[in-house]
Amino acid sequence: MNCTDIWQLAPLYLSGELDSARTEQFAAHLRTCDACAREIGQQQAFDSLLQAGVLSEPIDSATVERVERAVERMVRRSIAAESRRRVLAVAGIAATLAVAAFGIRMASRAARATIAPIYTAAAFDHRIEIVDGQPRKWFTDPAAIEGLARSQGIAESAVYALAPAGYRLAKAKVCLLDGRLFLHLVYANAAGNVSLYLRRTDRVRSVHAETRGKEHVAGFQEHQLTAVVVTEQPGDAAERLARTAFAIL
Amino acid sequence: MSARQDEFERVAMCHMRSLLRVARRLTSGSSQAEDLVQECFLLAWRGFHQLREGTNTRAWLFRILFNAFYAQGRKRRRAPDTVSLTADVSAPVSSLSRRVPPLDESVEVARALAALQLDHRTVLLLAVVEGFTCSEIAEILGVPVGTVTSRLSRARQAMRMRLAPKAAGAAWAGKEQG
Repeated sequence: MNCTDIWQLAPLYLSGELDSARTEQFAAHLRTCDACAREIGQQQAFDSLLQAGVLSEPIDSATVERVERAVERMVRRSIAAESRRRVLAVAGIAATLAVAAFGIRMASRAARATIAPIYTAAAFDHRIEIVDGQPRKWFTDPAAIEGLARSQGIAESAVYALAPAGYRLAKAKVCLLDGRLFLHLVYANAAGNVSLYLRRTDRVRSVHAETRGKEHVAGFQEHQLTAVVVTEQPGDAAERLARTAFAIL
Repeated sequence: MSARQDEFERVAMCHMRSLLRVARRLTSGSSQAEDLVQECFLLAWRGFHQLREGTNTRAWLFRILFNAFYAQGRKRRRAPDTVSLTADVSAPVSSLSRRVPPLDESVEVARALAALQLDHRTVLLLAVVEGFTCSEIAEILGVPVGTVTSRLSRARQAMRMRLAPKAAGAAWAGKEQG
């Protein structure tokens, strides 16, 4: 290790981030090079001076309390605004899910309901992207997901309001199902994943809850929204999750 | 107060003094610093549900603080690294004079620190005063570790050029004691 190395590595040495081998090499150089040893010694002394100088400036309690109160007010406002958005979303979505719940009940009674192509595509998409985990570019940041929802004409609050109970929103992306763009939201918990495919629509169709291959699919379509729930979880999970979401709302 | 608010207060609000201390050095006045820290906490609250267990909360808050600071700078459409020497130094000095005996060294340090360019002042504050590692600073600022170490070396050099007599004196005193 030469003097140039010492200059370059000094910040990492001073912050204790060098591994043990390089720390030893660094220290060995300082033992044999007065100029570098003096330089490092001065840097350490200077750091202490700087630290003491800045920390000696008090931040008075009145300032801290003032900011704490302001933050508290902002948080309260944020919670209230979120509640308002949620109520608005619930009002819209409740109507949607009411149609869905009715449709799901009807579908459950039907021995042989028609499986829409979109359900087959959704089941396949869920299988390869979620169950098999094929690499895709997902959005995980909430702000990015909200932006994605808006870009698809879907209220950002819907991505949270439609979350099945006990699940958290894990990721999202836009995907193509049967030639049409859908917002693909993935909710996860320890039990597994649930895919929710959403698309704004302007037509009214029937509702189904079906099993396609290994995937269980429940979906509905009303005058503003097409929604398809897919999960690899066994039994009537897709239908149950839709019912649970409805019950929560 | 909800459990989420309790948790936020427990893990985030306790870092307020650190954030205020750095915010004061970034902005040109204490009220701007308070606004910046408030904005930081509001953004932190909004993203708090996404904070994963094991995350370095303090580093996470500082990353939010700097993002907010740069966003404010972009909004004002002017370079953010304009710090008034008078505002930066006089406020702490006046408050010092009321509370503790004035320290010439701290005034000198404040003056020299305020005169540094923003990038250098930032890494120096985070490393020396707040005790972050170079890796953590790289994460906070979103730059490579090499950039952080290079800025730190230059910042230390620039500060020492301004405070050379004192720094050198301190170093000699340290050697005599050792």
